[in-house]
Amino acid sequence: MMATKVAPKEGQPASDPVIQSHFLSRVYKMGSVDVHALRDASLQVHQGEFVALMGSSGSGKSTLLHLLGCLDEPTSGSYILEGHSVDRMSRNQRARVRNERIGFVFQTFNLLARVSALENVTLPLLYRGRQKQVRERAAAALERVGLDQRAGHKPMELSGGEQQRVAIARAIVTNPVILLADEPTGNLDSRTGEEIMQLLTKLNQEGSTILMVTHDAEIAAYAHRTLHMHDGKIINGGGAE
Amino acid sequence: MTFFNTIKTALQGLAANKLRSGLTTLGIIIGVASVIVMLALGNGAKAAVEASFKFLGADTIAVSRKQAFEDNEYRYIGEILSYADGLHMTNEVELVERVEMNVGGSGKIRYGSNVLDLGIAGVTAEILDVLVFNDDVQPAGWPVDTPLTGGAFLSAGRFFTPAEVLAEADVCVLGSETALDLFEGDNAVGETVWVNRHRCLVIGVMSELESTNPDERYSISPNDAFYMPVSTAINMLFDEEPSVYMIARINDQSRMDDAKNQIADYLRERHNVEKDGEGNYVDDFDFTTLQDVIGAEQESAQTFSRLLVAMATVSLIVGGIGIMNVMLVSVTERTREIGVRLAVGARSRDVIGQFLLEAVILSAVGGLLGIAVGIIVIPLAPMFDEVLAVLEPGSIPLAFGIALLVGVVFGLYPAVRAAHLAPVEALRYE
Repeated sequence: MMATKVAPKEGQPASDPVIQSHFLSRVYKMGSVDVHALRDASLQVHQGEFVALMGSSGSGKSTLLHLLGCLDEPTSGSYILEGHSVDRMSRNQRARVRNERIGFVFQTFNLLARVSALENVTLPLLYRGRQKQVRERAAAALERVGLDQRAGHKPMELSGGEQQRVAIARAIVTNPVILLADEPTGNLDSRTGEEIMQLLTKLNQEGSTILMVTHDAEIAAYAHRTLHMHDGKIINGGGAE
Repeated sequence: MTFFNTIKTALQGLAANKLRSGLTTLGIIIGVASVIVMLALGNGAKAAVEASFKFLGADTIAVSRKQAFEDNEYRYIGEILSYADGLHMTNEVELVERVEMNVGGSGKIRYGSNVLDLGIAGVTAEILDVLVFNDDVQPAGWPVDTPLTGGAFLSAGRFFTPAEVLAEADVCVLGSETALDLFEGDNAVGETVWVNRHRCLVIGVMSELESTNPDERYSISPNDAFYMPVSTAINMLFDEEPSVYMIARINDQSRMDDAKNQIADYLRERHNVEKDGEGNYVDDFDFTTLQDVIGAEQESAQTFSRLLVAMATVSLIVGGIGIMNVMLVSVTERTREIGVRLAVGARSRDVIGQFLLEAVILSAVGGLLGIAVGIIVIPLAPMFDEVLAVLEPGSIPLAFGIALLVGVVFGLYPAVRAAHLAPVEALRYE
């Protein structure tokens, strides 16, 4: 790996922040126009935190989440994940980072329709090369989200809430250093949304670090800390309190 | 991702669109079947020649008098190919080891009051070896697995020797039926028969022979033969010296063309062959080798083969494009899926592997079906054109390999395209 260990600076907590970004910017070219989707976003997320990223649509919160999830590359700025710089990584190294250290939960669940819940959960493990007890580990993840009884069902046979639980199980099956959730309750009714938030809270209490994008203040209230974004900028400091 | 899981994923992808996947393989099926049939035709032509020109070995050149097409018919031109031409060839031509000669005639054979009108074969002493080599006939009831020997073709007496051929000895060997007709069961060897008013000593009687091919046993009767030395036959049966058919055995198989040139030079000198206006010799003899005949036969099968080559090429390209098209559609339809796979950590080669494998599985299935179709079609080939098609075993792996290659070549672009999707874009795709 090309990543370099960054020594902790003086006066900071002994452990490195899980996420440490400095002046991340993302500019899209739309024809001849440059669209500044994200401007100089600097933030830190520490181990065990549950952070909400709030803002209206187009505020740049999803762009930031994609950069932090190594799904996209910044135009400028630097990003250190768990002490390792991600900036000059190759496509395949990024794939490995996503596989080993990041868990995604999407608004639209993004499950593979043709395979069972259990097989959906095994997917990240399959991309890790030869692994032992893949199915056992996937089954354990399903149990953690309370869906072990539905393991053999295909996504179509599950309710929205159940599908999102499968997606969460898929995100945690690799024990990632951070769980990135993009509007996890956006496609669910409020009661089911609440259940999903309770599940995320439980996972956070069990040790998962979570960064969640939402535009809903009630949902953001489940987090320990809320960052507000507007026009591509984080408007209340991104550092740890 | 492990190979097993990649295969499983690819199969799941294909199973989702069974009809589309099936139709895509059609081009490959036709292409592969064409390859199989095409090679079977070439093989069939070779087999047909080898069956009918068995008397030619790989090391022999048949020499015959030339016929030319003049005044709407074939006519012999120039001088005859004489017994003397053949007799001296062995000594005069470096590469010729020996020359077998034969001439066919007919005559009245008489013993006591029994008279037969027979075809008479004037041959050289090697004829028994030739019979063994040709493997067309065998002593009746010869065990299948036992190699033939020259001696087994004789039931009594002996065959004539090269010395007797040279000496134009008045000797003959009778087919079993001929002996029975003339001698009615009595001993023939040592008796004298009359051949067109010449006396001739019977020195041997052939065994009862049958065709080696059971299907031909009733149509071919090899037993009413009458063998004499070729030199004796020329003396006894012909008013004018006849042309002799020769088979020259060459002592170096790798120099067949040199041997042809040497024989040609030798015969041109003996026959005083002149050049025509363009400086080419007007030869009065023709050569035939196994290679020539196979080449000619394959050429005649080639019109059909060319059609099949064209068909195979077009089908495989169309099939390949079909696969590429279906894979491109599939990649587009599954952009979201690719995005999810990338998000959970699929590397480029995982995605390439998945889609390439789908393409290769499609082409492999097409290849297998094509091989099956080809094998079914081979026996039907003679109906279209009077040619023989014989499955060439090597064509099966070849055709399958071509199918796989088509899958890889045409599947690569869609697979690479899938692998290079930006994860964010792919996830956003509706």
